[in-house]
Amino acid sequence: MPRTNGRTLKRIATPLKLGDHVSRSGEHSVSDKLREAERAIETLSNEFRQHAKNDLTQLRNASGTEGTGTVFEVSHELRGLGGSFGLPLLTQVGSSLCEFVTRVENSNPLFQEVVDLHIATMIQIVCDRSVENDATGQQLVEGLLAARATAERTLGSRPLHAK
Amino acid sequence: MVELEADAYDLSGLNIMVVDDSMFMLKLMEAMLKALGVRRVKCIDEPTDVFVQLERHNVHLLITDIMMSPIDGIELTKTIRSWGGEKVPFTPIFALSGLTDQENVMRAAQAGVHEVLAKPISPRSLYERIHRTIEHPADFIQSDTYFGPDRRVTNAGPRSAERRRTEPDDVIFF
Repeated sequence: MPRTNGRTLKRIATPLKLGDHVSRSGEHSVSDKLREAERAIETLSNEFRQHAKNDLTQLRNASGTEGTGTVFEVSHELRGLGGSFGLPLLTQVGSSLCEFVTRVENSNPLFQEVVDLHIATMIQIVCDRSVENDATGQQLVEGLLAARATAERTLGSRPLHAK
Repeated sequence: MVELEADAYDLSGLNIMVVDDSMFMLKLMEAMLKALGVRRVKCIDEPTDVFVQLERHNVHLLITDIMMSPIDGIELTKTIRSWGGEKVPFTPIFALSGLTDQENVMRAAQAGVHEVLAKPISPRSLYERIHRTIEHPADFIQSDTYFGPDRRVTNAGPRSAERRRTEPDDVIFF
């Protein structure tokens, strides 16, 4: 058995190989399959927008009464899903909100203002398809990020992973 | 980008389990996998259910979110790697994460995942990882501190004779 830096290493051939359960595809090309998958996502797209809108509206209506954990959970889910449904700005704003609630202490009304601004922006992205497709969407997000940066300078923030 | 077209695979024989506490992510993954040709997709939103289901369903590939509760994808992977039985500990595992900074990728690698997929997921990125795992099935490495796939194979393809001569054996062990 080989030893590396004083540690004993054993190499084991895996009994589980994906290759044992697949065959060469003769019928459909990879491009066909990827197009099929894109169509499947498109089919889910409206349902996703409605799901996102419902969660965000609940957060907006609760403004401040939901804990930071709930805000993080919703924004974390939407940042993970947005790009898959052709909404990269939703992913960008969701990421920004996750970072903000992780880095900044919720001890000042300005904190909630920034959270509310993120939620309002995400609702706009989800409800208005044009936001993702023209320059105003990017400008909207840039304005939001600038507001967040100003708030973080005012409130103080800690590095990511510190929480 | 991986050249996929020349090596198209029929994935209908695969049995894939997806674990995520977001119902919508499960729905998305199931839709993508089925469109790519996978017939059997088992979706689980409760991570603690995974262990029983893994043995019951003869799973060929597990795709898990990292950030979940009560146990996250890292703990889930560690538990599977230390699970009894002949096959379950060798289950290929892909981790899904919105946090793909070096620290999180390293944590996942140290736990024994085969691949880390950055969210948002695209059909191409998903197919590429499945394709790579088919083409390069990793041997497992057991050391005092690690049990999992040999990442020298999974991350960069099999090492060439030249790389084997020039790279130390412990470049990726922790």
